[in-house]
Amino acid sequence: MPDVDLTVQLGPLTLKNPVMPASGTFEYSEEQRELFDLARLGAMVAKSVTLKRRPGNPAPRLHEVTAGLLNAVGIPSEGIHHFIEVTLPALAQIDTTLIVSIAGDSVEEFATVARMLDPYRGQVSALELNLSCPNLTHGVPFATDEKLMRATVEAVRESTTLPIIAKLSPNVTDIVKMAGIAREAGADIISMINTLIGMAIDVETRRPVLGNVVGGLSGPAIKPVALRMIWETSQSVDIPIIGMGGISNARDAIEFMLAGASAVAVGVASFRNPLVMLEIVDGIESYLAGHGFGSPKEIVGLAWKERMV
Amino acid sequence: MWIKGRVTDQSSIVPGYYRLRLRVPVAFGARPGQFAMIRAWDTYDPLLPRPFSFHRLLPEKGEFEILYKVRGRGTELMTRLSTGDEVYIRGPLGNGFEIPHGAERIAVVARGIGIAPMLALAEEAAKGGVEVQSFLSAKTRELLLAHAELEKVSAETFVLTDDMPEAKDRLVTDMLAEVAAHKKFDAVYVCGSRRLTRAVASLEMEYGFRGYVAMESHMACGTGACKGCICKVRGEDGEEAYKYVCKDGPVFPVRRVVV
Repeated sequence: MPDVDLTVQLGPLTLKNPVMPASGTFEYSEEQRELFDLARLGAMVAKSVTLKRRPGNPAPRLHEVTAGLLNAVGIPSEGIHHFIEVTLPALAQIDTTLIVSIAGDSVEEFATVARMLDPYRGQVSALELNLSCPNLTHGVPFATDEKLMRATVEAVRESTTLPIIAKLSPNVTDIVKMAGIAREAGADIISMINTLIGMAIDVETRRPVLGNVVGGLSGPAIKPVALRMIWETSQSVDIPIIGMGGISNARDAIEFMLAGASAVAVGVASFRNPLVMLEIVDGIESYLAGHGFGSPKEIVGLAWKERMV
Repeated sequence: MWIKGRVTDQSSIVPGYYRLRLRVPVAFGARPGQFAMIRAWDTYDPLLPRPFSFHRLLPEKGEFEILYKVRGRGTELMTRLSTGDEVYIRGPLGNGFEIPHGAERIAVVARGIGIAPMLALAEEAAKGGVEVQSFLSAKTRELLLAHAELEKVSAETFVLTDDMPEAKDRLVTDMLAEVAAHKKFDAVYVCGSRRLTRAVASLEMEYGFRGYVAMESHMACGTGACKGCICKVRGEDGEEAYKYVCKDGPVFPVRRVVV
């Protein structure tokens, strides 16, 4: 069996392996550190940070549905100052690539947060733009509006020299078009998909279950949708994709890579099994070795590349 | 810790309520008031583990018990567990109850399934020579769960169920107030009812004990990552903010929570 080198190159960003947490699903806590060495992750991805402190949505924020989780958390954040002073120094201790997710209510807010993080480029390796959180109270998610998304990515591009990852919303008619706009506006990498908007109703109280009425659906239930969107996007947009949406094991992760994702992110599955990301790293390695591949990039998009031959 | 536990016993106390005993392979170091995320399925439906407080801690046997009410698909599946079955356990999690140093007498106040964390607390307090007085509330006498076990470690036990005539204009905390008028409590712990929680908070002012509430919430991760399990808590300055039941609690000073 050949030696496998798990290193992946996502445009300007190098990762030691293709597996990372999805933003907002993984905490750098003492309890987590006792479970495994976080340096084994391809990247650490921090929860979205906003300019000012914001409380997030009222309870209930969570509701489990068939093979999925609805959440209406709504980006609670301590704000960028707290992030820089308290959170960042702790995250920077992890010996792996650090991706910081940023969010905002306006184009200017995104740009300001990006600018404020730029001096920390020694510690922060890339910014992920949370353009797609469905739980914002003010207006539409940026990634569902062509003009807003273009303006946001462009403004962040002008505010930082860090690699930019644009996180796309699946709640659009044509995600390929949105990916193309993100690329034109200066994104280096695409991450997709964020949650699908959904809801649940309590038949006894006859009211919506979530405090915010609607929320984002994630988990195994959305995997086929995510896979299809990555399949389409990777064939027409020539920047790397971090794929996510219901990945629960190595097999799922490999499917995403075969569909066209260069790396993968894991969300809800870590709540079921806190060691699942390590199992995915190991599973990808043994799949590659077992099938005669030397690196993850050799299988990216194979499902459509081989089909075209 | 993320470990596999093995079922050593399960019994139904009354219809819809179960006591499950689990053995863990390593020293667990759990304290009363803490909880564990437990998953008894490999399926995607149900998907996530569920949070359960420790009902009874038996470290010398390497075991603990949970007490649960059947509420949905997860707990429904759990009722089918039998001796020898394996479950996934993440824990112990959360902060747990604090018994003030030098405490001589405490009270536990619980309604319904809120009794779950109180037996572990009462047993630990009694073991440490602290007098326990129990104040239990439920819909019916039958639903006074773990009443007998709690009675064993309590100096006195007071019960008030909704089907008793005197429950019409009384709460079990009124009985606590009557006792507190002539006996000093160092701490009072409450779980399972917003109304009783509010009552304990107002008695705290009057009688000068330290009041604590064990909060409940749906959770996805149990460890502070998913930001799902919020409750409203008042800060020193009186300003209300969201706190996470899993990581900042589940035990909070009763005067701080907004219920």
